[in-house]
Amino acid sequence: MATKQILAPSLLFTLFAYITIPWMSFDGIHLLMFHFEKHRFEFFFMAFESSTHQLIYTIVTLFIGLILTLNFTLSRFFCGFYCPSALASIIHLKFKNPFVLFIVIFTLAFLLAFSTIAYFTPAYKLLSHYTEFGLGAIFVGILATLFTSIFLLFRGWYCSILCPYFFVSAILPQEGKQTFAFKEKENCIDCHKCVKICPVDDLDIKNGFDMRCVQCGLCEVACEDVMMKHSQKHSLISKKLEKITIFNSFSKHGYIWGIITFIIMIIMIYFILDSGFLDNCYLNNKGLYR
Amino acid sequence: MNKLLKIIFLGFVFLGAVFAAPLSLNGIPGTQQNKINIVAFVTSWCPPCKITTHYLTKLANQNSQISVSLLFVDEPMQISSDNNLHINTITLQEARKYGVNKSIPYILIFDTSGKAIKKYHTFNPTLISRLINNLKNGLYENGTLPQDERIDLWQQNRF
Repeated sequence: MATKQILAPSLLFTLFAYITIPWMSFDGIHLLMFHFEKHRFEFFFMAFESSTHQLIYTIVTLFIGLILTLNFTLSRFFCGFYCPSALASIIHLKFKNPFVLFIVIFTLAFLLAFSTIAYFTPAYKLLSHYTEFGLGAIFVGILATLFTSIFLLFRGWYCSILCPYFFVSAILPQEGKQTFAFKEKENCIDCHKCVKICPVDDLDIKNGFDMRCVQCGLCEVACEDVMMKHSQKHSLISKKLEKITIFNSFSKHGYIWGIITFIIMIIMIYFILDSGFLDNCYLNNKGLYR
Repeated sequence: MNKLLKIIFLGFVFLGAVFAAPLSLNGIPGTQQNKINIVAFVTSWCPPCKITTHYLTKLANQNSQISVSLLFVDEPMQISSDNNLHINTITLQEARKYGVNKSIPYILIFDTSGKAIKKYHTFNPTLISRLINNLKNGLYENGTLPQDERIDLWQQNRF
Protein backbone atom coordinates (compact mmCIF):
# COMPACT_ATOMS: atom_id res chain seq x y z
CA MET A 1 0.00 0.00 0.00
CA ALA A 2 2.63 2.40 1.08
CA THR A 3 4.75 2.12 -2.04
CA LYS A 4 1.82 3.42 -4.04
CA GLN A 5 2.22 6.91 -2.72
CA ILE A 6 5.93 7.00 -3.49
CA LEU A 7 6.61 7.73 -7.15
CA ALA A 8 3.02 8.45 -8.00
CA PRO A 9 2.61 7.93 -11.75
CA SER A 10 1.14 11.41 -11.97
CA LEU A 11 4.57 12.86 -11.13
CA LEU A 12 6.21 11.14 -14.10
CA PHE A 13 3.28 11.94 -16.34
CA THR A 14 3.38 15.70 -15.61
CA LEU A 15 7.15 15.75 -15.98
CA PHE A 16 6.85 13.97 -19.31
CA ALA A 17 4.12 16.38 -20.48
CA TYR A 18 6.02 19.45 -19.30
CA ILE A 19 9.15 18.38 -21.16
CA THR A 20 7.50 17.26 -24.41
CA ILE A 21 4.92 20.04 -24.93
CA PRO A 22 7.49 22.65 -26.13
CA TRP A 23 8.69 20.22 -28.81
CA MET A 24 5.22 19.67 -30.27
CA SER A 25 4.65 21.82 -33.29
CA PHE A 26 2.69 21.63 -36.48
CA ASP A 27 3.60 23.81 -39.43
CA GLY A 28 5.81 25.93 -37.18
CA ILE A 29 3.04 26.57 -34.65
CA HIS A 30 3.31 24.99 -31.22
CA LEU A 31 0.93 23.34 -28.78
CA LEU A 32 1.57 26.07 -26.22
CA MET A 33 4.06 28.87 -26.64
CA PHE A 34 4.49 32.50 -25.73
CA HIS A 35 6.48 33.38 -28.81
CA PHE A 36 8.15 36.68 -27.89
CA GLU A 37 10.38 36.70 -30.94
CA LYS A 38 7.59 36.47 -33.51
CA HIS A 39 5.05 38.33 -31.36
CA ARG A 40 2.43 35.65 -31.18
CA PHE A 41 0.64 33.49 -28.66
CA GLU A 42 0.43 29.93 -29.87
CA PHE A 43 -2.12 27.56 -28.42
CA PHE A 44 -3.25 24.19 -29.71
CA PHE A 45 -1.55 24.75 -33.08
CA MET A 46 -3.36 28.06 -33.53
CA ALA A 47 -1.51 31.36 -33.43
CA PHE A 48 -2.72 34.80 -32.39
CA GLU A 49 -0.70 37.95 -32.93
CA SER A 50 0.01 39.69 -29.66
CA SER A 51 2.37 42.37 -28.44
CA THR A 52 5.01 41.85 -25.76
CA HIS A 53 2.73 43.49 -23.19
CA GLN A 54 -0.12 41.16 -24.03
CA LEU A 55 2.16 38.13 -23.72
CA ILE A 56 3.47 39.24 -20.32
CA TYR A 57 -0.06 39.91 -19.02
CA THR A 58 -1.16 36.51 -20.35
CA ILE A 59 1.67 34.78 -18.49
CA VAL A 60 0.86 36.64 -15.25
CA THR A 61 -2.85 35.82 -15.58
CA LEU A 62 -2.10 32.17 -16.30
CA PHE A 63 0.26 31.99 -13.32
CA ILE A 64 -2.19 33.52 -10.82
CA GLY A 65 -5.19 31.71 -12.32
CA LEU A 66 -3.55 28.29 -12.23
CA ILE A 67 -2.29 28.76 -8.65
CA LEU A 68 -5.81 29.70 -7.50
CA THR A 69 -7.53 26.95 -9.48
CA LEU A 70 -5.15 24.24 -8.32
CA ASN A 71 -5.38 25.45 -4.73
CA PHE A 72 -9.16 25.32 -4.78
CA THR A 73 -9.27 21.89 -6.40
CA LEU A 74 -6.13 19.87 -5.63
CA SER A 75 -4.86 21.96 -2.70
CA ARG A 76 -1.69 20.49 -1.13
CA PHE A 77 -2.08 17.32 -3.19
CA PHE A 78 -0.47 19.23 -6.01
CA CYS A 79 2.80 19.36 -4.07
CA GLY A 80 3.05 15.62 -3.53
CA PHE A 81 1.51 14.45 -6.78
CA TYR A 82 2.52 16.95 -9.46
CA CYS A 83 5.31 19.22 -8.26
CA PRO A 84 8.78 18.17 -9.51
CA SER A 85 10.09 18.96 -6.05
CA ALA A 86 8.43 15.73 -4.87
CA LEU A 87 10.27 13.85 -7.61
CA ALA A 88 13.51 15.28 -6.22
CA SER A 89 12.56 13.99 -2.75
CA ILE A 90 12.19 10.51 -4.20
CA ILE A 91 15.55 10.78 -5.95
CA HIS A 92 17.03 11.62 -2.54
CA LEU A 93 15.77 8.24 -1.32
CA LYS A 94 17.09 6.24 -4.24
CA PHE A 95 20.64 7.58 -4.49
CA LYS A 96 22.87 7.70 -1.45
CA ASN A 97 26.15 8.56 -3.22
CA PRO A 98 26.34 12.41 -3.10
CA PHE A 99 28.10 12.63 -6.48
CA VAL A 100 25.51 10.48 -8.26
CA LEU A 101 22.77 12.36 -6.41
CA PHE A 102 24.09 15.67 -7.64
CA ILE A 103 24.35 14.45 -11.24
CA VAL A 104 20.79 13.08 -11.23
CA ILE A 105 19.31 16.16 -9.53
CA PHE A 106 21.19 18.48 -11.85
CA THR A 107 19.95 16.56 -14.91
CA LEU A 108 16.38 16.88 -13.68
CA ALA A 109 16.86 20.58 -12.93
CA PHE A 110 18.41 21.21 -16.33
CA LEU A 111 15.57 19.39 -18.12
CA LEU A 112 12.99 21.45 -16.22
CA ALA A 113 14.84 24.73 -16.80
CA PHE A 114 15.29 24.00 -20.51
CA SER A 115 11.60 23.13 -20.88
CA THR A 116 10.54 26.26 -18.99
CA ILE A 117 12.53 28.55 -21.28
CA ALA A 118 11.36 26.50 -24.29
CA TYR A 119 7.84 27.81 -23.64
CA PHE A 120 9.08 31.27 -24.64
CA THR A 121 11.37 30.49 -27.55
CA PRO A 122 11.31 27.39 -29.82
CA ALA A 123 13.17 24.44 -28.31
CA TYR A 124 15.27 23.70 -31.39
CA LYS A 125 16.34 27.36 -31.48
CA LEU A 126 17.20 27.24 -27.79
CA LEU A 127 19.65 24.43 -28.59
CA SER A 128 21.44 26.73 -31.02
CA HIS A 129 21.64 29.38 -28.28
CA TYR A 130 24.34 27.21 -26.70
CA THR A 131 26.65 27.62 -29.66
CA GLU A 132 25.97 31.34 -29.99
CA PHE A 133 25.99 32.14 -26.25
CA GLY A 134 22.44 33.46 -26.62
CA LEU A 135 20.31 34.96 -23.89
CA GLY A 136 18.11 31.86 -23.70
CA ALA A 137 21.06 29.67 -22.72
CA ILE A 138 21.95 32.10 -19.93
CA PHE A 139 18.38 31.98 -18.61
CA VAL A 140 18.45 28.17 -18.71
CA GLY A 141 21.68 28.26 -16.72
CA ILE A 142 20.23 30.59 -14.08
CA LEU A 143 17.04 28.53 -13.76
CA ALA A 144 18.96 25.23 -13.63
CA THR A 145 21.09 26.60 -10.79
CA LEU A 146 17.98 27.74 -8.92
CA PHE A 147 16.22 24.40 -9.38
CA THR A 148 19.33 22.46 -8.34
CA SER A 149 19.67 24.50 -5.16
CA ILE A 150 15.98 24.05 -4.37
CA PHE A 151 15.99 20.30 -5.02
CA LEU A 152 19.30 19.62 -3.33
CA LEU A 153 19.55 22.15 -0.53
CA PHE A 154 16.41 24.10 0.33
CA ARG A 155 13.79 21.39 -0.33
CA GLY A 156 11.00 21.67 2.26
CA TRP A 157 12.26 25.02 3.47
CA TYR A 158 11.51 26.43 0.03
CA CYS A 159 8.12 24.68 -0.08
CA SER A 160 6.98 26.13 3.24
CA ILE A 161 8.51 29.62 2.99
CA LEU A 162 9.16 30.78 -0.57
CA CYS A 163 6.85 28.83 -2.87
CA PRO A 164 4.06 31.05 -4.27
CA TYR A 165 1.76 28.06 -4.28
CA PHE A 166 2.11 27.81 -0.51
CA PHE A 167 1.28 31.51 -0.04
CA VAL A 168 -2.23 30.81 -1.30
CA SER A 169 -2.73 27.43 0.30
CA ALA A 170 -1.60 28.84 3.66
CA ILE A 171 -4.52 31.28 3.83
CA LEU A 172 -7.10 28.71 2.75
CA PRO A 173 -8.68 26.28 5.25
CA GLN A 174 -6.33 23.29 5.30
CA GLU A 175 -7.18 21.03 8.19
CA GLY A 176 -9.74 18.90 6.42
CA LYS A 177 -7.45 18.32 3.45
CA GLN A 178 -4.39 16.85 5.13
CA THR A 179 -4.53 13.11 4.71
CA PHE A 180 -1.50 11.63 6.45
CA ALA A 181 -1.89 11.04 10.17
CA PHE A 182 -0.04 9.18 12.91
CA LYS A 183 -2.67 6.67 13.96
CA GLU A 184 -1.10 4.24 16.44
CA LYS A 185 0.95 6.35 18.79
CA GLU A 186 1.14 3.61 21.43
CA ASN A 187 3.16 1.32 19.11
CA CYS A 188 5.79 3.93 18.24
CA ILE A 189 9.38 3.00 19.08
CA ASP A 190 10.67 6.61 18.88
CA CYS A 191 13.09 5.96 16.02
CA HIS A 192 12.33 9.45 14.56
CA LYS A 193 12.73 8.10 11.04
CA CYS A 194 9.64 9.99 9.91
CA VAL A 195 11.02 13.31 11.18
CA LYS A 196 14.44 12.74 9.61
CA ILE A 197 13.08 11.82 6.21
CA CYS A 198 10.56 14.67 6.02
CA PRO A 199 11.68 17.28 3.46
CA VAL A 200 10.22 20.00 5.69
CA ASP A 201 12.49 20.95 8.60
CA ASP A 202 11.28 20.16 12.13
CA LEU A 203 7.95 18.73 11.03
CA ASP A 204 6.85 16.01 13.45
CA ILE A 205 3.78 14.19 12.23
CA LYS A 206 3.19 12.86 15.76
CA ASN A 207 2.11 16.33 16.84
CA GLY A 208 -0.83 16.21 14.51
CA PHE A 209 -1.90 18.67 11.85
CA ASP A 210 0.81 20.79 10.30
CA MET A 211 0.09 23.17 7.46
CA ARG A 212 3.54 22.72 5.92
CA CYS A 213 2.99 19.06 5.04
CA VAL A 214 3.47 18.56 1.28
CA GLN A 215 1.67 15.19 1.11
CA CYS A 216 4.69 13.40 -0.31
CA GLY A 217 4.12 10.27 1.80
CA LEU A 218 7.80 9.64 2.53
CA CYS A 219 7.11 9.22 6.27
CA GLU A 220 4.59 6.46 5.59
CA VAL A 221 7.19 4.42 3.70
CA ALA A 222 9.94 5.14 6.24
CA CYS A 223 7.73 3.97 9.09
CA GLU A 224 6.81 0.81 7.21
CA ASP A 225 10.46 -0.03 6.61
CA VAL A 226 11.13 0.14 10.36
CA MET A 227 7.95 -1.60 11.40
CA MET A 228 8.57 -4.59 9.10
CA LYS A 229 11.52 -5.49 11.37
CA HIS A 230 9.32 -5.26 14.45
CA SER A 231 6.05 -6.75 15.59
CA GLN A 232 3.87 -4.43 13.58
CA LYS A 233 3.79 -5.42 9.95
CA HIS A 234 2.32 -2.18 8.67
CA SER A 235 3.08 1.52 8.82
CA LEU A 236 1.88 3.48 11.83
CA ILE A 237 1.34 6.49 9.60
CA SER A 238 -1.44 6.15 7.10
CA LYS A 239 -4.09 8.11 5.31
CA LYS A 240 -6.49 9.77 7.71
CA LEU A 241 -9.38 9.90 5.33
CA GLU A 242 -9.52 6.99 2.94
CA LYS A 243 -12.36 8.52 0.97
CA ILE A 244 -10.50 11.72 0.20
CA THR A 245 -8.67 11.16 -3.07
CA ILE A 246 -6.81 13.49 -5.32
CA PHE A 247 -10.01 14.30 -7.18
CA ASN A 248 -11.96 15.09 -4.06
CA SER A 249 -9.47 16.83 -1.86
CA PHE A 250 -11.15 20.10 -1.03
CA SER A 251 -14.53 20.73 0.54
CA LYS A 252 -17.70 20.14 -1.46
CA HIS A 253 -17.73 23.67 -2.83
CA GLY A 254 -14.01 23.75 -3.53
CA TYR A 255 -14.45 22.46 -7.04
CA ILE A 256 -17.06 25.09 -7.85
CA TRP A 257 -14.64 27.83 -6.77
CA GLY A 258 -11.88 26.20 -8.78
CA ILE A 259 -13.99 26.03 -11.93
CA ILE A 260 -15.13 29.64 -11.45
CA THR A 261 -11.54 30.92 -11.16
CA PHE A 262 -10.53 28.83 -14.18
CA ILE A 263 -13.33 30.31 -16.28
CA ILE A 264 -12.47 33.85 -15.10
CA MET A 265 -8.84 33.20 -16.06
CA ILE A 266 -9.80 32.05 -19.56
CA ILE A 267 -12.12 35.05 -20.05
CA MET A 268 -9.35 37.41 -18.92
CA ILE A 269 -6.82 35.85 -21.30
CA TYR A 270 -9.36 36.09 -24.12
CA PHE A 271 -9.84 39.78 -23.22
CA ILE A 272 -6.09 40.48 -23.01
CA LEU A 273 -5.36 38.87 -26.38
CA ASP A 274 -7.93 41.02 -28.19
CA SER A 275 -6.46 42.42 -31.39
CA GLY A 276 -7.84 45.87 -30.50
CA PHE A 277 -4.98 46.30 -28.04
CA LEU A 278 -2.36 45.83 -30.76
CA ASP A 279 -0.20 48.86 -31.53
CA ASN A 280 1.23 47.45 -34.71
CA CYS A 281 1.45 44.23 -36.69
CA TYR A 282 4.58 42.37 -37.67
CA LEU A 283 5.06 41.56 -41.32
CA ASN A 284 6.09 37.96 -40.52
CA ASN A 285 2.59 37.39 -39.10
CA LYS A 286 0.89 38.16 -42.40
CA GLY A 287 -0.10 34.51 -42.79
CA LEU A 288 -2.17 34.56 -39.60
CA TYR A 289 -4.73 36.91 -41.10
CA ARG A 290 -5.65 34.87 -44.14
CA MET B 1 48.61 63.89 -38.30
CA ASN B 2 46.84 62.73 -35.19
CA LYS B 3 44.01 65.15 -35.85
CA LEU B 4 43.67 63.95 -39.43
CA LEU B 5 43.41 60.34 -38.27
CA LYS B 6 40.68 61.36 -35.84
CA ILE B 7 38.73 63.09 -38.58
CA ILE B 8 39.05 60.08 -40.88
CA PHE B 9 37.93 57.79 -38.07
CA LEU B 10 34.89 59.99 -37.34
CA GLY B 11 34.19 60.05 -41.06
CA PHE B 12 34.00 56.26 -41.07
CA VAL B 13 31.78 56.24 -38.00
CA PHE B 14 29.34 58.76 -39.41
CA LEU B 15 29.61 57.57 -43.01
CA GLY B 16 26.00 56.44 -43.03
CA ALA B 17 24.77 59.70 -41.60
CA VAL B 18 26.85 61.81 -44.02
CA PHE B 19 25.60 60.11 -47.17
CA ALA B 20 22.07 59.40 -45.97
CA ALA B 21 19.48 60.98 -48.19
CA PRO B 22 17.09 63.21 -46.24
CA LEU B 23 13.50 62.10 -46.24
CA SER B 24 11.79 64.18 -48.84
CA LEU B 25 8.37 64.31 -50.40
CA ASN B 26 9.69 64.05 -53.95
CA GLY B 27 9.71 60.27 -54.33
CA ILE B 28 6.45 59.58 -52.54
CA PRO B 29 3.40 59.36 -54.78
CA GLY B 30 0.37 61.45 -53.99
CA THR B 31 1.92 64.16 -51.84
CA GLN B 32 1.20 67.86 -52.28
CA GLN B 33 3.32 70.95 -51.76
CA ASN B 34 2.34 73.62 -49.21
CA LYS B 35 0.23 71.24 -47.19
CA ILE B 36 0.73 69.11 -44.11
CA ASN B 37 1.52 65.70 -45.58
CA ILE B 38 0.81 62.46 -43.79
CA VAL B 39 2.27 59.36 -45.41
CA ALA B 40 1.09 56.07 -43.92
CA PHE B 41 2.46 52.64 -44.90
CA VAL B 42 -0.41 50.27 -44.21
CA THR B 43 -1.87 46.90 -45.20
CA SER B 44 -5.42 45.71 -45.46
CA TRP B 45 -4.98 42.65 -43.19
CA CYS B 46 -3.57 44.20 -40.05
CA PRO B 47 -6.13 45.42 -37.44
CA PRO B 48 -4.22 48.58 -36.34
CA CYS B 49 -3.76 49.47 -40.02
CA LYS B 50 -7.52 49.32 -40.53
CA ILE B 51 -8.00 51.77 -37.68
CA THR B 52 -5.23 53.98 -39.14
CA THR B 53 -6.80 53.95 -42.59
CA HIS B 54 -10.20 54.81 -41.17
CA TYR B 55 -8.82 57.62 -39.00
CA LEU B 56 -6.68 59.20 -41.72
CA THR B 57 -9.46 58.99 -44.32
CA LYS B 58 -11.72 60.89 -41.96
CA LEU B 59 -8.95 63.39 -41.22
CA ALA B 60 -8.34 64.07 -44.92
CA ASN B 61 -12.03 64.58 -45.64
CA GLN B 62 -12.45 67.06 -42.81
CA ASN B 63 -9.31 69.18 -43.25
CA SER B 64 -8.36 70.95 -46.45
CA GLN B 65 -4.81 71.76 -45.25
CA ILE B 66 -3.92 68.11 -44.82
CA SER B 67 -2.93 65.72 -47.57
CA VAL B 68 -2.99 62.03 -46.71
CA SER B 69 -1.18 59.41 -48.75
CA LEU B 70 -1.97 55.79 -47.92
CA LEU B 71 0.59 53.35 -49.27
CA PHE B 72 -0.42 49.69 -49.18
CA VAL B 73 2.68 47.53 -48.78
CA ASP B 74 2.94 44.54 -51.12
CA GLU B 75 -0.74 44.48 -51.98
CA PRO B 76 -2.69 44.90 -55.18
CA MET B 77 -4.93 47.87 -54.47
CA GLN B 78 -7.05 50.10 -56.62
CA ILE B 79 -5.14 53.34 -57.05
CA SER B 80 -7.36 56.31 -56.38
CA SER B 81 -6.64 59.98 -55.98
CA ASP B 82 -9.07 62.29 -54.25
CA ASN B 83 -8.54 65.92 -53.42
CA ASN B 84 -6.73 65.26 -50.17
CA LEU B 85 -6.63 61.47 -50.08
CA HIS B 86 -4.35 59.35 -52.23
CA ILE B 87 -4.28 55.58 -52.19
CA ASN B 88 -1.34 53.84 -53.76
CA THR B 89 0.64 50.62 -53.62
CA ILE B 90 4.29 50.14 -52.81
CA THR B 91 6.57 47.14 -52.74
CA LEU B 92 8.20 46.13 -49.46
CA GLN B 93 11.67 46.77 -50.88
CA GLU B 94 10.67 50.28 -51.86
CA ALA B 95 9.03 50.85 -48.50
CA ARG B 96 12.21 49.84 -46.67
CA LYS B 97 13.93 52.92 -48.11
CA TYR B 98 11.54 55.09 -46.12
CA GLY B 99 12.10 53.19 -42.88
CA VAL B 100 9.62 50.31 -42.84
CA ASN B 101 11.46 47.59 -40.96
CA LYS B 102 9.52 44.73 -39.35
CA SER B 103 6.21 46.18 -38.33
CA ILE B 104 3.33 48.04 -39.85
CA PRO B 105 1.71 50.72 -39.75
CA TYR B 106 4.51 53.22 -40.29
CA ILE B 107 3.48 56.86 -40.39
CA LEU B 108 5.56 59.81 -41.62
CA ILE B 109 4.46 63.39 -41.02
CA PHE B 110 5.83 66.31 -43.07
CA ASP B 111 5.23 69.98 -42.33
CA THR B 112 4.18 72.57 -44.93
CA SER B 113 7.76 73.20 -46.05
CA GLY B 114 8.17 69.51 -46.92
CA LYS B 115 10.43 68.61 -44.01
CA ALA B 116 9.91 65.25 -42.30
CA ILE B 117 9.28 66.04 -38.66
CA LYS B 118 7.96 62.84 -37.11
CA LYS B 119 7.81 59.13 -37.75
CA TYR B 120 5.63 56.70 -35.86
CA HIS B 121 6.00 52.92 -35.84
CA THR B 122 2.60 52.61 -34.15
CA PHE B 123 -0.76 54.30 -34.49
CA ASN B 124 -1.67 56.61 -31.63
CA PRO B 125 -4.61 58.96 -32.40
CA THR B 126 -3.99 61.32 -29.47
CA LEU B 127 -0.35 61.95 -30.42
CA ILE B 128 -1.17 62.45 -34.09
CA SER B 129 -4.11 64.78 -33.48
CA ARG B 130 -2.07 66.91 -31.05
CA LEU B 131 0.82 67.13 -33.52
CA ILE B 132 -1.46 68.08 -36.39
CA ASN B 133 -3.22 70.72 -34.29
CA ASN B 134 0.14 72.29 -33.50
CA LEU B 135 1.17 72.25 -37.15
CA LYS B 136 -2.13 73.76 -38.28
CA ASN B 137 -1.69 76.64 -35.82
CA GLY B 138 1.78 77.39 -37.18
CA LEU B 139 3.60 76.02 -34.16
CA TYR B 140 6.48 73.59 -33.85
CA GLU B 141 5.56 69.94 -33.40
CA ASN B 142 6.09 70.22 -29.64
CA GLY B 143 3.76 73.22 -29.38
CA THR B 144 6.32 76.05 -29.23
CA LEU B 145 6.44 79.07 -31.53
CA PRO B 146 8.92 79.16 -34.42
CA GLN B 147 12.23 80.70 -33.48
CA ASP B 148 11.80 84.08 -35.14
CA GLU B 149 8.43 84.61 -33.51
CA ARG B 150 9.56 83.80 -29.99
CA ILE B 151 9.86 86.66 -27.50
CA ASP B 152 12.74 85.61 -25.32
CA LEU B 153 13.39 87.92 -22.39
CA TRP B 154 17.14 87.51 -22.48
CA GLN B 155 17.23 88.62 -26.11
CA GLN B 156 15.58 91.95 -25.27
CA ASN B 157 18.04 92.90 -22.52
CA ARG B 158 15.34 93.01 -19.87
CA PHE B 159 17.72 91.95 -17.11
